[in-house]
Amino acid sequence: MAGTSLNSIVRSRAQGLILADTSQHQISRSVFATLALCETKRLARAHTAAIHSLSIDAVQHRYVLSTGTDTSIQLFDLESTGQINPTRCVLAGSGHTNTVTSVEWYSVDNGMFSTASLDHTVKIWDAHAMTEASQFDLECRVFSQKMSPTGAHALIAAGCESPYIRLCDLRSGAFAQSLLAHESASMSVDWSPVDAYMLASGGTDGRLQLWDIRQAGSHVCDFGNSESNTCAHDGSINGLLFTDDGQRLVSAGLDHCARVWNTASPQTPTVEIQTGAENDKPRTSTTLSTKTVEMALTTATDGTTSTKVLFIPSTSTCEVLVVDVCTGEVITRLDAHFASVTCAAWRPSFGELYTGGADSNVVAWSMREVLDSTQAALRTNAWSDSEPDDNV
Amino acid sequence: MHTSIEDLVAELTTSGSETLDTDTVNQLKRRLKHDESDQAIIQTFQALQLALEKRHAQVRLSALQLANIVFCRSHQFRLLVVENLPRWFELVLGTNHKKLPAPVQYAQQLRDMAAEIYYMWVERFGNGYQRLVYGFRYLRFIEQMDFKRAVKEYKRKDPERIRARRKIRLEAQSEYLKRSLVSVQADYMRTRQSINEALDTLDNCFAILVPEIVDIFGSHGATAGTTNNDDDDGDLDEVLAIMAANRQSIDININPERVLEAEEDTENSAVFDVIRDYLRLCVQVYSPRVQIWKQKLDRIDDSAELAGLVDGLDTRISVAIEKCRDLGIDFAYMDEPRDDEEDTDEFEDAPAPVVNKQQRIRQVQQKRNSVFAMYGQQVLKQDPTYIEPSLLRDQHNHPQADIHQEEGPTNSVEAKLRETAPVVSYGADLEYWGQREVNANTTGLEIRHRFLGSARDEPMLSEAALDTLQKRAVYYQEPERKEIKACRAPLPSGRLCPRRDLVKCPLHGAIVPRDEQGQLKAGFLPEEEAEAPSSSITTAERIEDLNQNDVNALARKHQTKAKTKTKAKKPKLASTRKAKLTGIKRLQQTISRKR
Repeated sequence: MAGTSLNSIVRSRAQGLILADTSQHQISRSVFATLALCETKRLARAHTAAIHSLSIDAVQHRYVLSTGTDTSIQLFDLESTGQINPTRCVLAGSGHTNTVTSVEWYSVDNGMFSTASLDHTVKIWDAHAMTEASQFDLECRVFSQKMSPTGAHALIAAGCESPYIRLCDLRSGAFAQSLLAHESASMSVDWSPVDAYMLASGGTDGRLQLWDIRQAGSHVCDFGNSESNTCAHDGSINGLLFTDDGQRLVSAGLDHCARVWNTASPQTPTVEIQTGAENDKPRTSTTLSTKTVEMALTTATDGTTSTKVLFIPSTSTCEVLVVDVCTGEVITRLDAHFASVTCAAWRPSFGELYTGGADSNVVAWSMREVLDSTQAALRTNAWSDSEPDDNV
Repeated sequence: MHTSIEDLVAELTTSGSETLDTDTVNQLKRRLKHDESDQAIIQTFQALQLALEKRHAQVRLSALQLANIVFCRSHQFRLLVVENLPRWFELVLGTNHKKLPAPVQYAQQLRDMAAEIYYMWVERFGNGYQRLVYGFRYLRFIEQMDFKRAVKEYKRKDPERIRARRKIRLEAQSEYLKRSLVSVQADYMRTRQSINEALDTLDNCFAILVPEIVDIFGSHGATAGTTNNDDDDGDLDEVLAIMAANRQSIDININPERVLEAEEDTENSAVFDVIRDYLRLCVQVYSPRVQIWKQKLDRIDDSAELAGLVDGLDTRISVAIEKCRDLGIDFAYMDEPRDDEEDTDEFEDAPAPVVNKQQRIRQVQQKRNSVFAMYGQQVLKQDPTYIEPSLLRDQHNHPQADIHQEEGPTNSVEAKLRETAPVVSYGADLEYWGQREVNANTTGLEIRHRFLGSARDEPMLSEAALDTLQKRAVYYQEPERKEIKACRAPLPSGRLCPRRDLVKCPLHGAIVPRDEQGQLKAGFLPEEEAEAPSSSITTAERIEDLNQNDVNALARKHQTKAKTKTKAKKPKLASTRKAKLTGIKRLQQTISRKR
């Protein structure tokens, strides 16, 4: 029912043609269908190469960190309008010496953030001074790192090129555990937002695994059909995201497919989403692709209680797909980047989406906005009077 | 609605000319201006998209120009372009490793123009369409396109900047004129006094020397029938007016010799001296100064008052100078330098030295010789210590002037030998002829070693060295080359046959004089009317039996037929075929690459 306007939905509900939850569902969908390129807000050009990771702080939803291939880390304050310049930054080359693959705010407050980079390190930074506070040396390229959003412990799970997932303990400054995860590399990790000790990891072998770090054996289960020995994905998994109720897990893979799993029943995915074009063949190259992808989900605070909307970058075009997680249908496609999109970050309660791509742009998207007079003036026809006026 | 929008767009994009045809463009504009439902805009966009997808750089160029025109005017069109921006980048800028199509020179032009146009779009519309800005960043940092030229062009053509520049220029101009007026005024105020003084003195002197006509009138007595008794000067005009009304006239005989008592004699010499002094002042100082003022005031608009005053002064000065001329004063005395320089403290307005541009250029071109500073100057010929380096003369031309027989044919053998002997100009070989032991140390100094002492023997030239000295170089003259003619018969490809031979071309027979088109020059080929009317082309059984002349005649006939068909050339699209890489082109390429 794409294209149904809000008015018609309300009218049908008033006439009793549709049920309450259906109408809620349709309303949320129509709201998200209006998501479009934000014309009133623009993040200033700060990166000179591809952007790999975005993170919006969990406390105030006000600051966004962006990093990428040019090794700089930029901090933007999202409260202002117009052109937003970075309030603080770590200059290129002064922190990490190679591509920064992942950045994440500390989940408890926004005084600290952590980054992982292809220069074999995971660094912890002080956000006020933008200086390095501590560092973990993993001796192989690090593709992703995450800390538990519950804040119960201070462990950073780092997925890197070695078969082990290493847990770095911030309190002691040393490594806490190593989980023998995948055959070659583990590209993405995510902590459950509900259980402080549940960790999901996906690797280049296509296996999606769930871990409980308190247990001795740690490994809880493998997603995917274990009888027929199929992996969760045909290719490597390069993006993982739990929904905020902890019940669903979204995994994005290089086989142009994203799967939504129910954590309670790991055998089959509940929903499959095509992220590539129809005729795309899965990328089964032997060389390691370091392209992790970061997805974003709307949260419960957004007011769209029954709908959870997933923002997932497409693998073959430069679009971002806006997908309903429960049903898997694509609500709309956002097309503004000029190269592949690598990360998405949703700003809850404000209804704004920020996406970063390989074209060094961080693009802002919003749902409804009011243009100011100069912008409105530019967006009108301007045929000059001197031009010929015949009706021939 | 005669032609559809697709046709208009197709016409504009395939014309092959550098700029779009204004009539067709206006037609399209008219159509789009009154398009209510945006249908026409959508059609234009689709037609332009098709044109841009064509694999010809000229078509894409024209399509881009047209797109620019519509982009600047229509909001809908802008939205459509912004939606398809990545594809447009690929088509006109060659992003994403896509190549722009042949022909090559137009491809480069396309890229440059696209950069300029896109920068202009970003500057003008970036605030309202954010994707343009995002695209610009992508082009600059990821594709690493250079926008410097585009920025320069934009700044140059920006109407606001042009207006600002013009304003500044006008302001500067008016400032200058104001200052000029002020300076002229100040000058005038300063020197007005002295000029008036000079002119008044001159007038007085003239009055002394040349009596007024009224006085003459008065002294000879009125012969006209005037009614008036008072004979004032002021009534003279009245009197004359009344007389003219009554058709009366006065005959006045003025004896010029008598009137002009202005001759130099002892009485008048003082007056004349004064006149001469002030005249010199007027001619050399005041008159040029007043001229300069006049020139300056000419350029200033609102200087009517001052201009009038200056004009008055100018007329007075010129009248005075005329009167001096009439008095017979010779102006030559002014060239002599004055003994007393009264006006040293007053700076005179000297006219600016007019340096002829040609002279300046000539001066620069005569580069100074770094070794001989006065080389080439004519003055040197008068210097007895200077010997002009004589040019090397051809050794075969020898001056025979000094050879003369002083002694008679005393030695007949010698005389005979002299007749047949070659006369050779003097050189090193004659100098050293026959010598066997030649001193190598020509400095005349004693060669002395620090430790080993003086050389025992004088160093001598080696045999080889002496041998070389006794040789004379004879330079070979290249013989005149005969020019080998080219065949120049017309080939089917349109060129002329380039084969060169003294006698005949293997394909076209004897090499005969032909004109620029390859046609035989009139009167060379022998008349063929005597031959059988049927040409060998029809009768020949084999190729060898073909008469070359008949083939030529046939070729000529075809050529003349083809010529009449061609019309005036109209611009068309350049060919996309790559030019063949000939040997010369390959060489040029390697040279340019090395550079």
